[in-house]
Amino acid sequence: MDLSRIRNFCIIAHIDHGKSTLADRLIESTGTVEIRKMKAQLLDSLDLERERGITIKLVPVRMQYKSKDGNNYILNLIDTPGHVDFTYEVSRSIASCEGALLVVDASQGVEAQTVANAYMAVDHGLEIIPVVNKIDLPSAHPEAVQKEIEEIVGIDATDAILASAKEGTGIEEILERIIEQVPPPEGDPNASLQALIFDSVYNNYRGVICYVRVVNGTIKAGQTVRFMVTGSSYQIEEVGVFRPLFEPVESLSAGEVGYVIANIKTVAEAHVGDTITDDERPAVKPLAGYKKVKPVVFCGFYPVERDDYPQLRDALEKLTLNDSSITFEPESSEALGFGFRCGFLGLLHMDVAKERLRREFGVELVATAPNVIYEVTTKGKTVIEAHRPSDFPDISDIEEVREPIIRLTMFLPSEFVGKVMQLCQDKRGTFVSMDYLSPERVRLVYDLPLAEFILDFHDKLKSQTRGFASLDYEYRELKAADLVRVDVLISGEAADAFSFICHKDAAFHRGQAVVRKLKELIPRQLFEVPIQASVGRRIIVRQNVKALRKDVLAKCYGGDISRKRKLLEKQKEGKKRMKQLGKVSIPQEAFLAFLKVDEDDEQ
Amino acid sequence: MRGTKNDIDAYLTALEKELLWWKVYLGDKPRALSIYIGGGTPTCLSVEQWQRLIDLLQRYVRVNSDVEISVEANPDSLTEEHMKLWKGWGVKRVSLGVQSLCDEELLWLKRTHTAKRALWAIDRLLHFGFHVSGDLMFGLAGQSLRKWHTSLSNLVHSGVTHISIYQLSIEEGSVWGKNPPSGVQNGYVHYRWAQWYLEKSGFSQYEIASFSRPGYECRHNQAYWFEKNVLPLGPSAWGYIDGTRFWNVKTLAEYLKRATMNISPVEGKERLTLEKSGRESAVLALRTSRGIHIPSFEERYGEDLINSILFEFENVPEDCLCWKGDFLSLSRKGMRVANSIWSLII
Repeated sequence: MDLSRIRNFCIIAHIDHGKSTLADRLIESTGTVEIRKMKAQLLDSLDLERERGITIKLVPVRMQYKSKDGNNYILNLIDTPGHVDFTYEVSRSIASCEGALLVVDASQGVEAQTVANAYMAVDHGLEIIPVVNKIDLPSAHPEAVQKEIEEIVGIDATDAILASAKEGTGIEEILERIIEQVPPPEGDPNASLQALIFDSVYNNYRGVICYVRVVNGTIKAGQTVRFMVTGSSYQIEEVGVFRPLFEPVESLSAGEVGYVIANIKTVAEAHVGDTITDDERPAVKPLAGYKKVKPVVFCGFYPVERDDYPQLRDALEKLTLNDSSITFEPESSEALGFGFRCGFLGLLHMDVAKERLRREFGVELVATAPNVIYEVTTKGKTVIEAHRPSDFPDISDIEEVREPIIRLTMFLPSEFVGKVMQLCQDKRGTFVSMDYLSPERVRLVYDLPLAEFILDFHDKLKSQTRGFASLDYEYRELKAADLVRVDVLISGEAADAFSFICHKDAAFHRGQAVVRKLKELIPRQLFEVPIQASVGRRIIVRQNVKALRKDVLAKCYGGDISRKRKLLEKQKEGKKRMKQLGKVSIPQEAFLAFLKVDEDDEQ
Repeated sequence: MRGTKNDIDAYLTALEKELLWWKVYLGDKPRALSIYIGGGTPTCLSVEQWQRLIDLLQRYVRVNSDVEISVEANPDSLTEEHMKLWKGWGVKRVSLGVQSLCDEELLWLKRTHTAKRALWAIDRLLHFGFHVSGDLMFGLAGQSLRKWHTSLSNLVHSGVTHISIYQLSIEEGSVWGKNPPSGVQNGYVHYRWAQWYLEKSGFSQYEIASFSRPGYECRHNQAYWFEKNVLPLGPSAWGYIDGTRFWNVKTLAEYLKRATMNISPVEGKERLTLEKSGRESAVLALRTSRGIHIPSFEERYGEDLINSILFEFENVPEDCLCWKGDFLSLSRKGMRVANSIWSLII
């Protein structure tokens, strides 16, 4: 394959700016898929993706295009997810391309994530082709958006392509410009094999399928290859390209994008970022890989029916085959029984995982409120990674607690600046910068504790800006903060399940919210039940569930006896389902409600 | 029970068949220490039908000389003729469905009598020499403590020797169950007040819902709480014989149909395991101020069961329980939260 006839590119766009529709048009107009086989948004292959209009997994597709210069070209499009949680996926597709289409909605303008992803592409030396999409909309103002691209992203947009993917406008021009502007891949087909794994998926029939970009050399079926990081060798069974379904080809050589199947049992063996080389003639060194992504948001997944624990485990194992960024380890909860503590890249990622478990594996589950990982230095200078409140040492033994901080960039209409700044202050944010992108639009940057962000920041931001703000964030650092563990005591006994970590200043309010909620949910018992919140040994909140004073009183003769007995037996059964903490019966709902406590309960 | 004259005659015929049937089942005529004629029966029957009922019972039931015969009655359908007839037969107690002595509450309860009519009925019954018991309801919508006290004190002063109080309870699926009336109260203050006031007025609480002057306790009801044998007669009646509980078909129509087909009206029976009946027996005994007699309970149901029940009582505040020698009962406070205590041991 002549390298000069290959173009590898990706599309960068904010959610809803029309990326998937544009990709579909490109596929359609190159005749890659027959029109009658086209489904709306072809690339979003998960049901969930299509439903939510988001892309989660990156999906490559190979197109053939006969350019106006009379030559046939191969265009590899590597679709990218648009949500901040999946930035790592974006970075991987960027690393396997030479060019990017920067798609901006003609009425919405540049959004926070567009900038972040565009910068990443520039950083990797990609050629960027700006596309102003949805110019058919009455509210479109393409000139203003062009100006925004220049001012905010800082790239020349004078010759941006004006397109409407929906109506097919500008598609031809996009294809021509890709040929013209995106440099062909470099590489030596005759050198030692170096192929970068940019993704891997698990298929029930084929085992692990590695998505690769061949940088140097050639890879073909029957060849024995070595994975340079793991050191294991495999025999290649099949190589192929994406059209967009898997289509075997004889070989893939330098510059090409495709897949490799090699009898690999688990995704763990095929590290994303690993380099595949020839076993007999290995390359001197592996290609630069990717930074391993670390989950930042954690929560517990528990089966709704306790007996479904094994099903949940199987489902999680299968899910992680396809999404290795999810981590999970067993844990148990007083209220929910056995389950798993799972780590995710963000809230949407968590949500998507939960939804996929339900849909693809039929598992009904309860998810606990998300939390972050803290780092605790004890007085004895030991460093502990605290995944849950119970990992915290006694308050007297804590030297310092550090929490993850993110840098949050928000784009919003200027009228909401005051409100959003207040919100960030309330969430313990530190102001970084603010600049007016235009008289109507502002870029606001804050450093914010991730714990506060995952609580409900996104929802609050949306409601305070009527949905007009967009945000992007990146993980910054661990920073010392005045964090305390608030414990809950019920009738004097510590109830672990209700402990939580929060800033010292919020301990009282949050403690009160939890105590009040519990007071509502714990039924009156035969004796008074004090519910307390404490920091260390200091009680900060106390409320009592008053003792039951009276039951319903009825006569009981003859026939009532059996009925009465059945009622009492039912009552007893109900009590059995509650969790006993000392003498106190705590209903399941109390545990569940706690998992969802939010700040609105503080009022 | 509502029915035409023909229905009632047919009912009496069916009752005779039922009595005969029991005679065969038991191998002899039953011997009664108490007879209770309740539900709609007493006031639906004409004088001559009453005569027939009495004849039937005299023919098929042997009684002791001190048998306690009770009759349930509603104030509005009660006549002096009934009273005469009952007196002649030897009825000792009449339990009157007073419900309230406030006319607006009676109206709200959709009762057809007035307070005045109820007081008249009590007065006449006392005149005939019956022991009179009055039923009162509490927890009604808008029932202030003052109104409740009016009903209570007027009933005490009317001369009754027995008072039953119970709380308005709304059944699921009933008209009120579907459309709950507003203002219905929890009844804590009402019940607590009754406990205090009736005790002070010389009525002792011998059971959760029953108060009497000394010696006027209802023997028949105690049979239920202490697992004595009870013979069920008539539609929807329940009985208990040697550890087996029986119940009859629920409707008059079905009852009559079975009689014509010569089938027993017993619709079902239930025999509990020793443990279940032990637990039930403990719950029933704890309705009364006498309570559980620990040694005899242990003898009948075993050491394990009594220990398991006593173990559960570790989770009950001390002031809810009352120990008197070998007897364990609920205190006044315990009676107020009896359901919760029973649900521990059932």
